[in-house]
Amino acid sequence: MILKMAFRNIFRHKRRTALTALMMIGGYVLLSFSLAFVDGSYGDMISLFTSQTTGHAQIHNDKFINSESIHDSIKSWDKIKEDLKNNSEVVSFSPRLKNGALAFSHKKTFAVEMWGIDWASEPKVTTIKQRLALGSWPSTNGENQVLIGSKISEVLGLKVGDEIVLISQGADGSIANDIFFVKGIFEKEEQGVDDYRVYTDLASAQMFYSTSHIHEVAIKLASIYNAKKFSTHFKVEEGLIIRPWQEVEKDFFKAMEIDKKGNTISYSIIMFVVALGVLNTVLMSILERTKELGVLKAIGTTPGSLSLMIILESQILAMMSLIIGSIIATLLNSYFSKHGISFSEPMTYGGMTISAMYARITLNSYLRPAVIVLVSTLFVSIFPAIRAARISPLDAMREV
Amino acid sequence: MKLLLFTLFLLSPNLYAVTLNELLDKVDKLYRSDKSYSDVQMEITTPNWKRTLSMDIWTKGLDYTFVVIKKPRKDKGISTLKRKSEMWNFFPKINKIMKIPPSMMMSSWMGSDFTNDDLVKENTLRDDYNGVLTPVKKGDTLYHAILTPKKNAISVWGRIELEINKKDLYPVRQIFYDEKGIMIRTISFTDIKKSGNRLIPMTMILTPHTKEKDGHKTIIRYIKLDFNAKISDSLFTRRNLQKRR
Repeated sequence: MILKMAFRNIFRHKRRTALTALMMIGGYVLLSFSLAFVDGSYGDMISLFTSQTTGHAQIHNDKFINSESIHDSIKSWDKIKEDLKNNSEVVSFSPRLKNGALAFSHKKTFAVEMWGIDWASEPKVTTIKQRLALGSWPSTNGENQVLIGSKISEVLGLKVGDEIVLISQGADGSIANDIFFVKGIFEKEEQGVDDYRVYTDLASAQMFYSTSHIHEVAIKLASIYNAKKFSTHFKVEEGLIIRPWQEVEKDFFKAMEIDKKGNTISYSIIMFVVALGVLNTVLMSILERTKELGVLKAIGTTPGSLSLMIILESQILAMMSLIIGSIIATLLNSYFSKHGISFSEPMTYGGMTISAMYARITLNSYLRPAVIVLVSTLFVSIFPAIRAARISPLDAMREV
Repeated sequence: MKLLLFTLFLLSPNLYAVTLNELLDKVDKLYRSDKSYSDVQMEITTPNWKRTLSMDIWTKGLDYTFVVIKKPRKDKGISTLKRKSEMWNFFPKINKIMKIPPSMMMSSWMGSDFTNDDLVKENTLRDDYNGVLTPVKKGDTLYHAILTPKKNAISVWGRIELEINKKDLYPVRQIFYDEKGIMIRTISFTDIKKSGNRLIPMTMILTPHTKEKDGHKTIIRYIKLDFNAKISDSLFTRRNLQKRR
């Protein structure tokens, strides 16, 4: 009975209903659209960022994370390799040996990071191959071929084909020293990740450092959103640790989280404006109907049913707005998820170049605004509902 | 009588000092002679690895030293030259001579627990340290000496304790302390053998006591020692250092 009346009330004043609905639809679409964009641009940034060097998850010796010592290594690489191969969620993975070295050339010295990587598997995990600017990607192992960062080539004055001497401490305490051959140079970027790195193949690096171990395994998963779950489920042996990118790149992740928090403030403002609009229309509709409500009360409607009616009215209206709103939002989001908004000038952030922003359709970008709209509508309709319930039938009917 | 006492007073510390200086000089020149050659094995143990180096060492007095690593194969030909207070390493693989800067004197020599400074030995115990010889009690087999650096001497140690065998006057143990009085390392000398006309401890064991060097140990074994080697002076030149072997 109350429900029926609520429905009738909604459809009687079409213009007023349309106005309120418009308010709600507008608010919903705006929220959903901006959320989709935020998710989209963050998603892009994350995948760009992780594809540089991090990958989606990494395995280390748990001591290596703090010590970065050559001795805190992964000794059971063969076993881990099998486990990763047999895991259906893993798309690709790459072993790495990491340590520091001193580079010499033309009587100059420069401290570098030395990475022993697998020429074949590394490009399947990261975008390293695309970043190579000069020279070519090597394919043979154990021949001391290296790819160097642009900073190193600049400081030491190295060109493709030149020799570079590297000195470091070997894992057996010996003085690691050898001549390497520059096969390629990475592109020059603002804060480029490769700037201070020398990449060689795993066999050459292991020979150089007199070790048979590795220090890091970078893993690429079918979906980056499974990184946390994968890391908790994938079993590594005692002394080793597997971490998702959120932990490996803690600083980056935290900066993003803070940025996201900042965004919630702007959503709150949008929602506040929408809520005020809804409050306004609901309140108006009650004032308009003072007489009717008075009559209803006079014929014996309880104050409870009366407030329920008002609340139901606004909730039904909100629901309908959501349905229309989500259709519009889907159209809008799916368009922008394909075409995006391109920047007139590409933006660099942490060594990544972002040239366009794309929307991304996630459940989050629908559900969250929907809940927000429903709850805020409920909230603002309570006040008019109470007001309606308190109406004295005599005073109400006396009004025009 | 007065004169006699005065003479005694003048003489006694001198007599004392001569004996201590003699001892210190002996330790300083333990493995040295006018010209010496030795075949040495160095065994380095750390918690993470263990390796043995085999090398030839030539010396001329206290000022010149030349070391060439023979084994393992990976390090073959790596050599060190010391001339007075300067020191260079040569790496044949990369054909590079690297001078050891003064700041690196206390760092490890070829990954061992010996420092570059141990090799250079710019300081001699006799010239750069003041010593106090603890009075010898009856039945003691050892002399104990506590050495502190002289005021104008540049030393890396705050104090050195020396134990010397009374009978043969060869060192048994040398304990090194830093300026704060913390024990840094011990060198023990064992395996005394007659080499030429003198008794020499053929094994030297260095044990560091610092926390970061926990589990480290370096043992030097003299396989061959020749104190009357015929060596040309050109051996101790940079040109010779860079020769590929």
